[in-house]
Parts: sequence; C-alpha cells; structure tokens
Amino acid sequence: MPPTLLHLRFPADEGCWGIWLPFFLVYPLLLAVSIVLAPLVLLAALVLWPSGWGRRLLLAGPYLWRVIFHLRGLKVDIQGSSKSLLVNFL
Amino acid sequence: MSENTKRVLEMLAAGKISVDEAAKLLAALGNTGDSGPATGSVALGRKPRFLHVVVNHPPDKGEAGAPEKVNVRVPVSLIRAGMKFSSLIPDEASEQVDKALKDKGIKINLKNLKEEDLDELVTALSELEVDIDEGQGKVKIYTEQ
Repeated sequence: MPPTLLHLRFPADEGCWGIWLPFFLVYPLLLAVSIVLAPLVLLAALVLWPSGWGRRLLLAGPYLWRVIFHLRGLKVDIQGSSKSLLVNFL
Repeated sequence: MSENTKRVLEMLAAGKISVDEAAKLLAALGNTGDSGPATGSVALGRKPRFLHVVVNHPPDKGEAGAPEKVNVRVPVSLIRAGMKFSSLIPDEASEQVDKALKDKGIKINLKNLKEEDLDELVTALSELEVDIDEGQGKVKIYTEQ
C-alpha cells in the first residue's frame, strides 16, 4: 500500500510548525511526467545501450516507483532540546 | 498478548525458566497459531516489518536541556526495494564504495548483496535487540512486526 499522507514538522523561530501533505496527489503528477518522458527515455536507452547505461536507464524508472510505493511507514523523528524535525509517511 | 505468552513471560521473570527456554516456548506458541498482537521482538517466527534505530544523546556536561533523541523507523520492504538500486550502480562507483567500506573495516560487496542476505539479517535482528551504550550516547536497533 503506497503512502497517502506526509506529515512534516520543522523547527521555526518559536518552537516548530507541522504540516500534513496529501502525498497521494504526487502519483498522478508522477504518472503524467513518466508518460511524457517515456519516449525520450526509451530513445536514450536505445542510444546508450552499447555502453551499458541503457539497461540502467530503463530499470531506474520502475525501481523508483517501487521505492516510492514502499515509503509508507518511514519515519524520521529528531528531537533536540529546543528544536525538532519529523518526516512521517502514512 | 495471549494468556500463554503472559504465562511464559511470568515464568521467565520468576526465574523458573531460562531466556533460551522462554524463546523456544514463545516460538512454539507462535507456530501453533497462538498469536496475540505481536509487538517488538517477542513474537518469533513472523517476518519483521519495520527496522527501528533509536539514538539517545544526553546533553553535554554543563549544558542544560532535554536529551537529544533520534528515532528512525524504516520499513523492511523499503530496504528491499532500495537494494534493487545497487544493481544500477556503475562498476567503478561500486568498487569505490566497497573500498571505502573496507577501509572502515566493513567487508561488504555491494554487487553481491542479495535479498536473501537481507532476509537473513532481518530475521536475525528480529530475535535480538542491539544496544550500544558508548559513554554519553546510546543506540538501540530492533525490529517491529
């Protein structure tokens, strides 16, 4: 299950501020970018195939999608004496 | 937590059984379908879902304030997905990384790292917690199911 929300908490001048971002909105954008770039990537992969980079270029896209889809549950929480930082994929 | 699990833990706390015996009993309970909600590394025989790294650093001497705490939770599936990227690393870069790791005393070949190795490592971690208490700071690594 891919993450749908992203909770961020940043340090500010007075304490910290947090924001909930609708991460699910990233997927249509990424999909659109992927579709637009697909022909260019395919062309580049064909050109670069003899050097060995073509295969890497082709695989990078699916691997990136796979990483994004497994971000759910990733949490980085840093709490200092005065400031704190949080990145949480839900 | 189920009644049987509680009983085993009580026996362990009372010193009636050893840690190894308790682990075996808990593993047996897990295999027979006696499963309460699994937390921490107590419930054995299940694949861990998250890897936790917790770092506690007390304030330096003479400094006031609360201790600094870093809590990182990484899904095991994300580590697995990230490992796929190692096949995309160019050979020259991979050699440099291996050399840098070797210089630090870590003998890992990135190209030879497989998902089975990760499974083995995570399974081993699910059966133990790593506590590093070095002077001022404390690092704890454990898995969650």
